[in-house]
Amino acid sequence: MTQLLLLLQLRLRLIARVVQGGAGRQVGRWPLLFLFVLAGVLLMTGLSVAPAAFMAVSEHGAGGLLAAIGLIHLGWLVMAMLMTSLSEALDLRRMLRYPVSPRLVYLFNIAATPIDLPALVFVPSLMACVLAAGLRMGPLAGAGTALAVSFIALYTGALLQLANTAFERFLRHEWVRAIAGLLLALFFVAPQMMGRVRAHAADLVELGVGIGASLRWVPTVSLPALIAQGAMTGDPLQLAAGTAGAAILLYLIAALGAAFAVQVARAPEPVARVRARVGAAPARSRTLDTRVPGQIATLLGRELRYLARNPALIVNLGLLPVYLYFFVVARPLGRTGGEYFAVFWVIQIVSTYALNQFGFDRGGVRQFFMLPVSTRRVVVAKNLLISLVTVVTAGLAALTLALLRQPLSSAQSIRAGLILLLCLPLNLISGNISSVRVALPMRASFGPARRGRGWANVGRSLGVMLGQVVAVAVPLVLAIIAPPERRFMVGAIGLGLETVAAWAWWWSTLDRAARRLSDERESLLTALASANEEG
Amino acid sequence: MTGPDDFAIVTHELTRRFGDQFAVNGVALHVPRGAFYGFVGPNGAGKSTTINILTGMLAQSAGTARILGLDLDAESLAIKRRIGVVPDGPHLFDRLTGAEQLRFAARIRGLDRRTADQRTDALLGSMDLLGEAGKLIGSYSHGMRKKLSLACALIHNPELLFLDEPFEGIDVVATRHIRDILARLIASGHTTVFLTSHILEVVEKLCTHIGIIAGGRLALEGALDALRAGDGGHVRTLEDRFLEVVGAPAEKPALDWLGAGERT
Repeated sequence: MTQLLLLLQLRLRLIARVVQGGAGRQVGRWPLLFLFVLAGVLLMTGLSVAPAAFMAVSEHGAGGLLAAIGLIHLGWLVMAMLMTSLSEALDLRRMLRYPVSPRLVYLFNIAATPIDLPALVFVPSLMACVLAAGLRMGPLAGAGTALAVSFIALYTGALLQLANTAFERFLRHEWVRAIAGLLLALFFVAPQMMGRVRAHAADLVELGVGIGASLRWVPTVSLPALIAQGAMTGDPLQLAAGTAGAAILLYLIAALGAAFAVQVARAPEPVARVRARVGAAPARSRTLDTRVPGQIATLLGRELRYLARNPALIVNLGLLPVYLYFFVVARPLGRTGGEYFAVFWVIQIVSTYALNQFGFDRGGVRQFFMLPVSTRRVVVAKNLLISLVTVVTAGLAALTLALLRQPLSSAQSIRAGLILLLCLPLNLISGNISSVRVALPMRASFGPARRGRGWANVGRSLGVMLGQVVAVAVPLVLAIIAPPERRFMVGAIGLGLETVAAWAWWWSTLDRAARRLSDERESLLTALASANEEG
Repeated sequence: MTGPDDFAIVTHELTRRFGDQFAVNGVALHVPRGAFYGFVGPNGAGKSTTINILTGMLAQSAGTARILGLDLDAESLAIKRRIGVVPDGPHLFDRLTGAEQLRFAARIRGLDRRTADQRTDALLGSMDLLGEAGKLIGSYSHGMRKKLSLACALIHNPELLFLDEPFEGIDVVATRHIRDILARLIASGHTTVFLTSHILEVVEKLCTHIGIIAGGRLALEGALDALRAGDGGHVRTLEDRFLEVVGAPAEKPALDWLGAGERT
């Protein structure tokens, strides 16, 4: 019991630490605000969906409950897996050194599922189910449903832990992880392939109910449903059978998961499995040396090597034609507006690198301060690399559209090019700030080191994206209200002027960015160098 | 009579505070050129903070420093061109190979490609890393990283070498090899070495000059022989001298329960 209390205390401390970076470093006001906004949005989503769960149970009884808890179970699992980087579960690997049973830690993590961010969306709906059953069918039905939804929460936690262990075990190798990312992305665009995105809301509800009902074949849904059904109909045999079955299944999943997790935790650290042999000196950077002056060429050559060894970029580039095909070529954006989506996706990829330019350097960032190179040159090399990524990605997008649909018209090309040229310096300016102030270590292997920090990344990406949307929208709105024959010119001139201003702004901020990098090197080193020690 | 040019490092009232705490407090170092200077002190005494300030990793809260006759604040890039640093944690670029990291360190310091390649091969061979030269640093052990870090610090033949706990986590064979390299470096008369360590035996064997820091303050500094010399020609060990300066261990709780039958 004392150990359980200590674990609870530790878990709460970890949650409290989410508002801090590594080594107690404050992340900053905006990311913290984003965390609260995110929690608020999730809770509001949960509260807005809960009435539907209430209606399903109060109007359709056990059948409605089955569909509701089925959807909640599935949705919770998917969302929790997507939000792994925001989670603060206790890391089994780090707990092995203490005289605490690893199984106890594992079970604790399962039980603590309802105190994580994704729970804000789903717990209100589970409570609504209990309330509906209690109010409509009496206290016994309410108590039975409460037991059923408790099992749903525990099953979700148990399967989530199992999935996380499986990810850690099988996705340690970064290329395997990259392929898995690609498959996951394809899974999410699958409805697009089926034309589901164009479906009416009623169809989507029907689809949801259908999915929920089809989950009756899944024991983690059907056994809790059986408990609730027994309680609602007053059938003690069904109630007892459901409870016993649900408990046995939970025990089996938890025991299997715990054994698997302990085995994975005792395996060697994933850091030893970084891709092994690579060529000693690719020719690419050598040719660069003759074109770009000295130190910047050397820095850029290193950046290019790093980037070429980053599977995330390859996956992003690989996904670009896939997304363009599904969203632009095969409807729904059709023949108009496709270039905006292409530009959006290119910027999305570029932002990933621009906003956290030192993330993949991790402890190596120290080299920039040890070596005789000015911080301005470091910033310029980083910005040059991002510009190169932009050019390559935009070229790939244009090629994809040309091959799969038709080449962009000159007006579309000019508009898309100007938007990109406008957004690039904005990304660089904000990236030069956030890369120093909110540096996040990116690791080669899947694992818990990134947990609890990912939300800062998501928050700042959204903020920067919003700023770019506003900047792009102003001239485009002006173009819309202009006379039809002048629309293109007004839009192009507006975007052009903003672009020139944005690049001038970028140039004027370079010295400040260099100074910031130098002045705030200690916090940057703390954020990134300590990540190396974390593994 | 010694002038400022005779010193590789001169600091004046060097101070670094973290919040209310003084990690380094008014340190005045005088490291002669060509010396093998051992900077010793107990854990948390301020050794690494001092070396981090002198190599540009940390900013001082107060005080000044001149490295190789150059002002630390105003001429930091010029200083970095002439020094080599092996930090306590060997943080390198994990996704470069050992050879690439060395070439990068050479080229960024302005060495031409041919010289960079030659020295890279020579240093990798010398550090017994040739077999691992094509592997990503991310897969290196701590000892291999430390050796590679030393190679990076040596590749431009620095005038002043900073070594922060260079022997920590290194096996006996590698330690011996690194000691030989350092001894050769000093014998050449061209290089000054500033080394921090808490292994006094190593410092005593290698160093010509010693600085002892305790509680952020420089407690003692001078030539090793002079520091060890006692009254009446009696020569003490560095450990004796160190304990004299830092103070003998204070009375600690007895820990009577340790090793007793009761185990919980």
